[in-house]
Amino acid sequence: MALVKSNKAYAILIIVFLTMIIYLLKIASLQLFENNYSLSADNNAIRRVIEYPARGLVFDRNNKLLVYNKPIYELMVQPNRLSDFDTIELCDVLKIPKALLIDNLQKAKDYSRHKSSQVYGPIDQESYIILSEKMYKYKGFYLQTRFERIYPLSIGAHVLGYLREVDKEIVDSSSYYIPGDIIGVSGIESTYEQYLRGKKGVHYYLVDAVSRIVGSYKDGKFDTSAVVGMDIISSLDAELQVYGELLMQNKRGAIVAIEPSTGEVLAMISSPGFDPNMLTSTKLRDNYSTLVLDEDRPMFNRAIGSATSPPGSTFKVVDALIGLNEGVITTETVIPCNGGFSVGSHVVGCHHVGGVNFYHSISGSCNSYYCEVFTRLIRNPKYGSFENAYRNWYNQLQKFGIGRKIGIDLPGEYAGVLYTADRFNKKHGVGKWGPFRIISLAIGQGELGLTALQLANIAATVANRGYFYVPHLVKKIIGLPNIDSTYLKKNYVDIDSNYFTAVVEGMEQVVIFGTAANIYLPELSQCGKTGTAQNPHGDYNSVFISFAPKNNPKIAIAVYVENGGYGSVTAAPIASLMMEKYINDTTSRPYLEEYMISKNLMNRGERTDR
Amino acid sequence: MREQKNISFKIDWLLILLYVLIVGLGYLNLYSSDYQASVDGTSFIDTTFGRQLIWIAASFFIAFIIMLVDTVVFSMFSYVFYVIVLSILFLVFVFGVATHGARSWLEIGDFKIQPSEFAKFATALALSRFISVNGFKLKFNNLLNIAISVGIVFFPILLILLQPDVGSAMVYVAFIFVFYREGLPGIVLWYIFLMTVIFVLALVVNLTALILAITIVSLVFLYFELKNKKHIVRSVIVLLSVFSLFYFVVVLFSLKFELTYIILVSISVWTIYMLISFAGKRQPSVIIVIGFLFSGLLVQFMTDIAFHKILQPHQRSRIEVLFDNTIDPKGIGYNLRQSKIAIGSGGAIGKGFLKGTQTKLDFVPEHNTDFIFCTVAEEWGFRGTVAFFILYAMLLFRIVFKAEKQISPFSRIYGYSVVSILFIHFFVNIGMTIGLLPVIGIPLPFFSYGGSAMLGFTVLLFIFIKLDTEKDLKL
Repeated sequence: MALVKSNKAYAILIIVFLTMIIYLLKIASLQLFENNYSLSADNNAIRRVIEYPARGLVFDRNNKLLVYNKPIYELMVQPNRLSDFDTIELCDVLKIPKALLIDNLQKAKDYSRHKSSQVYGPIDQESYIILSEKMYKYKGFYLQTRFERIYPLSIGAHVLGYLREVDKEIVDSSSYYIPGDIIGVSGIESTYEQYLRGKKGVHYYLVDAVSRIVGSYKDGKFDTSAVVGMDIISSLDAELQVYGELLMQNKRGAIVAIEPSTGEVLAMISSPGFDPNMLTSTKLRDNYSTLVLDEDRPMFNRAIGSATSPPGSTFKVVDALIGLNEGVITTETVIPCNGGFSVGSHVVGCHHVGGVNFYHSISGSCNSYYCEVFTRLIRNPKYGSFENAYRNWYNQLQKFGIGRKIGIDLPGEYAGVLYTADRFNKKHGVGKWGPFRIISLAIGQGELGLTALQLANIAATVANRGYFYVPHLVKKIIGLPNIDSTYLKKNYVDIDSNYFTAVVEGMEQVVIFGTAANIYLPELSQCGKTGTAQNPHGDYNSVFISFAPKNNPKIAIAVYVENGGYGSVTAAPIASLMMEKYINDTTSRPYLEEYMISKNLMNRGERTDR
Repeated sequence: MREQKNISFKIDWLLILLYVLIVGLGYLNLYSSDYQASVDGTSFIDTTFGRQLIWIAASFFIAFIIMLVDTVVFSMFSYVFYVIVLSILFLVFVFGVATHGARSWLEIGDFKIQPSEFAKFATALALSRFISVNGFKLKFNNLLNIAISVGIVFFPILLILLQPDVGSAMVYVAFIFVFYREGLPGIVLWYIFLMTVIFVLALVVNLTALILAITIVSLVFLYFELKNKKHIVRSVIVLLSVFSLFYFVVVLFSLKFELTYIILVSISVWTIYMLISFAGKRQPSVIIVIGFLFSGLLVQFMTDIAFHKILQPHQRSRIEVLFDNTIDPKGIGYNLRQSKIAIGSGGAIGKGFLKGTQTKLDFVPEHNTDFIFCTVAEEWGFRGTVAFFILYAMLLFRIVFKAEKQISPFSRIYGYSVVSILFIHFFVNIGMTIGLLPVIGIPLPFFSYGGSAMLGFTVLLFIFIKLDTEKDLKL
């Protein structure tokens, strides 16, 4: 008996039947044969919870705490688990207006219904305690603890750096960070991020049909525990840093102090600066733009980030060393000064009478002497042409770390200004320049710019009589055998140590009876060189490089102060006080200290004297 | 009294049993799918299954009312229903509430109604009435009637497309089966099927390859159709020589002429040759094949243009993910992938009632409406899925059998409309869920959450059950 009388009815039944068979085959392949779909399902029903480790602490070289973590409490919400709750009570506990809570809840919902986000934070400890007892009333809410960085001494903002939430770019390019993670963006926090951050742990929990955790997945076989971040012992001397920041207040400039025997940076001050506590956790949002928009650029690290002025006469130390090494002068060479060095109609001014000897050329900072030395260097027949001689000079300077990044462990290092021969060729034309054209370089002016770090490195190189360690800010990473090997090897400048001995003699005389005799303190046994650089915006910049004691130096320092006047007026006294503080642990010149601290050079942008 | 008893005798209790079973299982499934809500403490009436229970009760009540109404009413007022529903659809377009970018809801107090769900049975009634009176024979003197029949289906499509709700509009394609049953030749159905295949292939494969494929299929078909094999062999030789010559010229003079065009020109020359050599010889198959060849090529090019120029990027990506689920696994492909994971995780025997994790934990989006089948597959596994398919097949088959038994063409055509509509929902919904069709949001009848759909399908089915009680009646 036929169930239907039309062939077309059969055709339709066959279409229905075939469709169902094809679908069942596909479903069979999904359910019975394709393993990966059921495995993925396993993952879905397992909840992955990330455990955040505490970030490493930072100490100074004497184990004084510079940075630590403080817990902060936040109220989080997972919107799809929300149910009715007493809004007013919650607002009372949090001490916030109702509108804010409702607004924040809406934002959380807009972000995601299934993912958690912050509703309010940080919550003070008292509210936190009250709230934790009442949490059972607020379905969908939970409390979370995070850590914020605290800088107990409020120093070293530029060196230590700050943290902020990772942006999309970082999340996309890294496999470690997820949105909401925190990362160091400047200073040590940035350079040593991978050690400080530790390692996030992951816990897998089985989740039941109603999304509650019912236990750990496979007895925690796949769990990893968080690894606490490594602590770092920085090379900074907290006391010296504090003192330096005090001395530099109300001044524009920088100080870099290095331990010559290791290259460890003892202090790095960039002024004007800011309190690093201004940029911790939520305060970042409030203060960041203020700091960035400040005309004085307090967030900018002047010690390594710019060569705001030429080095001035401090550069003569390098001139002297290269001159001796190239044999164009000896320690016996006497050069007549007569109050200036004439280049055609132009005169490089000076103030000595008669012949000037080598030591006096340093202690009295004779311009004529070094113009002559530089001229001899560039005219040196050994190199065939001015250009080749200049190339040699350029290479020698590079060995000192001039005109290149030395490689300190901080982001944002600037190479400074040092022209290549090609650049002069471009500027003046090939063969159209000689020693006179670029004579300003002889006295550290013209096409030359050094960072405070490079200046300090010169001081350290002279202190070591011929080599330096790349300056660095980290003494030890606790848990690692060594710091990076680049910081552990000597960099020679390829100049005979005997020549250094001669230059050191000259530098000692600078302090005893030379240009910086005003800061002479016999027991310090200090050697130095003043510098005075022209600043198009107002008073001269005051520059000073120095190290002490003369034998077995413990500290090398560079100070530059914008609009500070002659090197001996501002930079030299500050350097001297710093060194005394470091070596003797105390200072003996309260009047000088008082004067330097109270000195305000912030408004000397326009030239007042001269 | 006597009449009442009579009716209860004539009622197809098997259909009603199937309906109650499917609705009951659908409800349990929805309950399980949204079980989370009851755990979270949402009050019963605010949960989807709480609301759905009200709709089911309403559906039962309406089904009961339908059984009391005189059969003649459905036939007599079919056009009236049709006009009313179309007017409401128009109102929706003007006053409707937009969800997911479509204005398809009408808000009356607390209730939201989706009129397009009710347009289905109204269209079915109107179409049954019209065809039962005028017939659907493909004859020249019947062209106007055919046009009106198609128009009856086309109007609601137009109004629903304006909302725009492509999914709901697509449902009306189902009426092609009704036309087929009532007189549309099978070859047209085949033709539409083949064009759909070409349409899909045009999205996936290289154009030149598809042109070649269409050509070769046409030639092979012609070879079997024609008695004189010499003709076809000769024509192929002509085709190949034209192609080679053309290709040689293009290469020789290094003309910038794409291979596709060379093939197209060769095919055109071949067509002219065929038309000349078969002129006057009655060979309809030649015309059919050439017609197929050219419309196939046309569909192919139109698809290509439509896909790349007309379709919006998000619509395009819905189609693209079908063929490559590695595209954007967290975006468009996410739904599909999660749906497949949920189904796959069910395995052979499933996780059991209320035990599914994928659907409940919100991994599967729209898990209580469009992707409701995921819960079936996850909790009841392959075994349960087969049972579900059998149940559904029984429902559809039963309606076809019953429709064939109708003496009145009106009832028969209406029966086929019901089958067609239920089938297309099943076809599109499950096909999308298991990743064989693009993601088009239409409900799975009696399973998906939604009051309008529940009521709409119940009315659709029960009008047929009522008509069936008086199958002897000439309407």
